[in-house]
Amino acid sequence: MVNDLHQIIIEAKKGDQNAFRQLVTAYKGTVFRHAFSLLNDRMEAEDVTQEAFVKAYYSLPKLENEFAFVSWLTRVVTNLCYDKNKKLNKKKLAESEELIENVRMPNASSPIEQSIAKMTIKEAMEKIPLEQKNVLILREIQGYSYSEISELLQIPLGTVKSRINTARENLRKELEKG
Amino acid sequence: MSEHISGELLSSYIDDETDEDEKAIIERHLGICLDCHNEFVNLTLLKEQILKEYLMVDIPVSMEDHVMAKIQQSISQKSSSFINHAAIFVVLSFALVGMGATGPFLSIGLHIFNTLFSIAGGLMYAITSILSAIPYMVEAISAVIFILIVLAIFILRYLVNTLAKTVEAGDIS
Ligand SMILES: [Zn+2]
Repeated sequence: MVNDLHQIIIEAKKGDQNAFRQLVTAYKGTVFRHAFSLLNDRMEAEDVTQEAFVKAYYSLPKLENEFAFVSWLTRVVTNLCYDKNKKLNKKKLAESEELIENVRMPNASSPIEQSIAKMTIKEAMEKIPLEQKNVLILREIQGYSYSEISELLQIPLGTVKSRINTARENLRKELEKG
Repeated sequence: MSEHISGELLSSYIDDETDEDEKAIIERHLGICLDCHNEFVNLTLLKEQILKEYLMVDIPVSMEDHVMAKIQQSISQKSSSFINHAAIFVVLSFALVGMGATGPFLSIGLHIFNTLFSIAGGLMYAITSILSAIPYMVEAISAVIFILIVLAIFILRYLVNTLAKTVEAGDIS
């Protein structure tokens, strides 16, 4: 399987569109899951996934080492998500300000409903900072080791270790609140 | 040993990112400390929950089609912008030739120029339509066509000049 992928990357690098399509099939799960866990929005995650692969298509011929493809792709997804998140935050902020100004509605959900709704992992994930979420996802979902994450994100190993721990602590705090 | 395990150490322990010495100390402590053991169980549970939550995510089925369509779209955008540049260049070179070669020799010069130019034009459309699927090919083709057009202009100017001289000589005698 790994050898096959290696061969597919080499073919795609030469401009073979069929090989590139196979590459999308092989990595779309990893890329989409990463984007979705960071953005918590299917549409946005699909956008980012498509964009990442289009970028990959044009950058592939310039990629020196086929083995570096996955980590390169992961870095691209991380950066695209960070950018997207900035835009989404701006939009959300504008929307919430509008909401406060225009509609002073009585509570949409009653206190009882609110207490029944238990916070899910996804909801709790939305509350923690993106850098913390990213290291946690890279570790838990993508299965990277601490040293791989350190290399991938260009941050010290100690930072990876402490950031993952902080992410877990914050996540648990949020879950306990819910 | 009574000191509790720090959060960071426990967190890296459940990720299997501690060295053998640390591992031994942690395991010895977990065997006797209920607080730390509970903490360990909670963290492990959280880890499983996260994994379960995101592994269940449905992966978009038609992702390949969308990606390939986007790539095709960006390729055709690239080549159409190339055709635009080529068109501007052609118009400019016509204007240049028009200014340089006026007079009775225009028709002779233009005939040669037209022949060469139509070859370049034909090549431009044929090749771009065939090879638009291949990236980085457009740049190479545009260079070839550019050279062809420049060649055409130079031949035309040379012809116009020689003809002008011959006619001038004829007029004097
Ligand atoms: Zn303890």
